[in-house]
Amino acid sequence: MSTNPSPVEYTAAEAAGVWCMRLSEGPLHGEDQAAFDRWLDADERHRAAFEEAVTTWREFDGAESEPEFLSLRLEALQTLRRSTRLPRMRLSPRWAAAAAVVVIAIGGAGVWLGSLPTIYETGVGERHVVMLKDGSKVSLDADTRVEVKYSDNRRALRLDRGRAKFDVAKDPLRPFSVAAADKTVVATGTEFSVELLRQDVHVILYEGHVAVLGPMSIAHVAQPLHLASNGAVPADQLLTPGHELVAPQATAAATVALTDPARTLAWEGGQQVFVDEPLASAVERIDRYSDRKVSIGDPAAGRILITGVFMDGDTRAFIEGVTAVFPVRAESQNGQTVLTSAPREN
Amino acid sequence: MKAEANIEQISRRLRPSLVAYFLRRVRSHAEAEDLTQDVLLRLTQLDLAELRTADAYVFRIAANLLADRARRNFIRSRFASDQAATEGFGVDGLSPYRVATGRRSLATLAKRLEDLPEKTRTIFILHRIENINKRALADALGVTTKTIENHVGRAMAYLMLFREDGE
Repeated sequence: MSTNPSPVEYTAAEAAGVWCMRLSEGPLHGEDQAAFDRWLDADERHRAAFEEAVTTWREFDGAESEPEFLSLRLEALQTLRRSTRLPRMRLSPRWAAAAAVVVIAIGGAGVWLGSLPTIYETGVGERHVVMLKDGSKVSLDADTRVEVKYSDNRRALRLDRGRAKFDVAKDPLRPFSVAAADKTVVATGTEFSVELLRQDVHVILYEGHVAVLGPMSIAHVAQPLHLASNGAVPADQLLTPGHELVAPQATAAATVALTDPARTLAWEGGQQVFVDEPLASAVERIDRYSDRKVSIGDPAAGRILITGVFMDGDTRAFIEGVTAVFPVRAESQNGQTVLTSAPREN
Repeated sequence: MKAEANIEQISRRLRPSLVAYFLRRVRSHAEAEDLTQDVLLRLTQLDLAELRTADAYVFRIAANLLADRARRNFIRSRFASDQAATEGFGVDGLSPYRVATGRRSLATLAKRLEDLPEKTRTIFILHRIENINKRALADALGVTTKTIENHVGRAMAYLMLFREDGE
């Protein structure tokens, strides 16, 4: 490198920023190293400016996964893509590394990956919001995996596990579908969540309308689910905003019930709210937030209906609360907490 | 945040902090640079996939290296105990703890970036957030590396300006 930031061309802050950038790319050598020392010693304010620059640099840690940065990143990457003349691109190893970064980053914003699905995944206790290319928003609960595959005529997503909420941007020409187990939810412009819980698919509608389809028939046509109570009525007809549809796997029947939208969205705010929830599904949800796993010891315990509000990740409070109020006993087995039913003590 | 599987990414993020950290305690930049390389080298020997965040480990290694160095210096010259090496340990200005507390929100930073001219903003984001090095950026955008540095320097100076206001 032959040019160095000099006090003549740069303000102290700009020079500090440039040195910070250079240091981030690797060790300085020879003349650069000496120039950096000279710059630091030239003025006592330079050292302070350098400290400020380094702090500012670190402030951007983690920015790549922040929703606020998605549109900024997308814009920057599109500019890069437009100005890169592919046929003349030199494939130096350095460029290949940069290209790999770009592909991953673009994947992160859910764009142009042709036939390859983009996978979004959260670990235990994590939550993540993803803005997709078309403006749709996917909010992933903990321990959740969603595959996104966009093409010219469809927006196909798959929930592999966990729970996610979808705010779908309107685009009548490209249906938005979410597959979960053997069910498919199809929307055009709406807000809904899909959750896989104990092999059941739960769909909650917040706004608009969705169709819920069952497994493909032999003729490769997916049929709408019908109501468990009346085989002639399509279940999604009753699925209006504020309702929840529950469809067990491997059947084409479903139940629809009124739900409390604020309660069902509490997970987005870091809480679990259970109202008459079977203990088995409450435990499955609690386990998404902590490595300290809880399991159910006997089927009777799993059927106990519990009510309560718990903070995500506070498994201890959950166990204490449940055992204090409900006829349940907790035992430690192989690093897990097992909940078994206990006769009520009188 | 996902574990950073890539030593390259960690280096991009933490190198300037490490150099600053050592510069506060050793005399020359050359020595600070050597210590920084030493930290990053040791990091390659760890199973990064197992680290949720590398930061705490990085600064632990850095502090240990300084302590080792202080011990060696003490043996070499009994009277010159190196105060600088140990003072402020754990509450260092660039420890992960301090960065977390004195840090502006990413939402605030995103807004500040929007104030910048488009080209400056684009180059800063591609360099700092997308981790594209300046040579590759210069090639892709058809400009010199000097131009890339000018834009990043300007963006950094602007962002630092708001830090001073105690935002």
